[in-house]
Amino acid sequence: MEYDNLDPLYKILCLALIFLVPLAPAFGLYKIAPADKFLAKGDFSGFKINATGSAAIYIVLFVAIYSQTSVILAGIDSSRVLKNKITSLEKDKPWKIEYTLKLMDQDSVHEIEQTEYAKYVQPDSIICSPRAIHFDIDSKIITFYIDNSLLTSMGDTIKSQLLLRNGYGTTIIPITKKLENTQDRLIKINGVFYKAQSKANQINDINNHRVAVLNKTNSNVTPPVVTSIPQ
Amino acid sequence: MKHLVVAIIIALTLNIGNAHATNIRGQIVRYVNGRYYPLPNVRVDFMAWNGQAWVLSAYAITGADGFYYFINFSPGITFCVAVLGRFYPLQPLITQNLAPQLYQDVPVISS
Repeated sequence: MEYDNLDPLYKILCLALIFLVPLAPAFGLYKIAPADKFLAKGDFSGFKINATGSAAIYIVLFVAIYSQTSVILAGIDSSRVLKNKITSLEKDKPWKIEYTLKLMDQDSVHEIEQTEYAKYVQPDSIICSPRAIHFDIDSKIITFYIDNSLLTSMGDTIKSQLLLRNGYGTTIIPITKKLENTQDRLIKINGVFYKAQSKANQINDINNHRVAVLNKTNSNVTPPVVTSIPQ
Repeated sequence: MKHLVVAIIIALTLNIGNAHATNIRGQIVRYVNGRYYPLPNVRVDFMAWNGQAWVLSAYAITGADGFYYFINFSPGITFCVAVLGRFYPLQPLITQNLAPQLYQDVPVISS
């Protein structure tokens, strides 16, 4: 029953090829050695065969291929079924969320050293459902997967929570669902986080150049482009 | 029933952050003769991303020490601040949930 959806024209084309393939060597023999006495004699599907020359070659090859027809057609069918199954599985494969972290240093201007990330991001830093995560310290990317069916049943936002340690606190990850990228099934997000500060006054630190300062060159005349939400 | 219990646990876990608020702080300074001084009475706008556009969510006026404060924001809001017609920083930020005595500091801005 799985074969019902197969294109019948495709099968007809394959059958036509089975008839045509023996023609090539038969034609070759006819051209090269027309007088050669190649003899084919026997029974085929209730018919008595008695042929010579290139016709005999054609009949022998045709019989040989014909006996394998059902195997070839079954192979075609199963490959088509397999292809359909793969397409169906691709349609339902989970979505991959890639969350690129950027943790800022105490001065809120510079990013922390790459080697320090392990202090703040732990394997259980992200809470989502289902909870399948991987944190790559080199790329600073947290990866997790969400089943297609679960994602479809969710609202506009994917609920996830990021737990950072040692002064970076917790945040709800705002992952707005944008499901146009159905082929790659990949949602990329960037997040910038600042380290928590005490209530101490910073003016001395600024004048002693312990804290960096933003000025007009570090600003935009329009609001910054939002990359924390999939574009 | 088992799935319901798991769903409730997950929902409660995910909503931990909602129970708290985030306090944001920043300072505006002025650079005069090689030194920075606090800049009072400057309006700072808090711009929040609503998923489609930036909206003016709140504003504050800097005090005598140049500090401005925005309090009680839910964690997870994407934001930037606008000071004197410019937007800081170059990348939008996300509000974090911190302990009440701590602030999420926006970098110091020099006018």
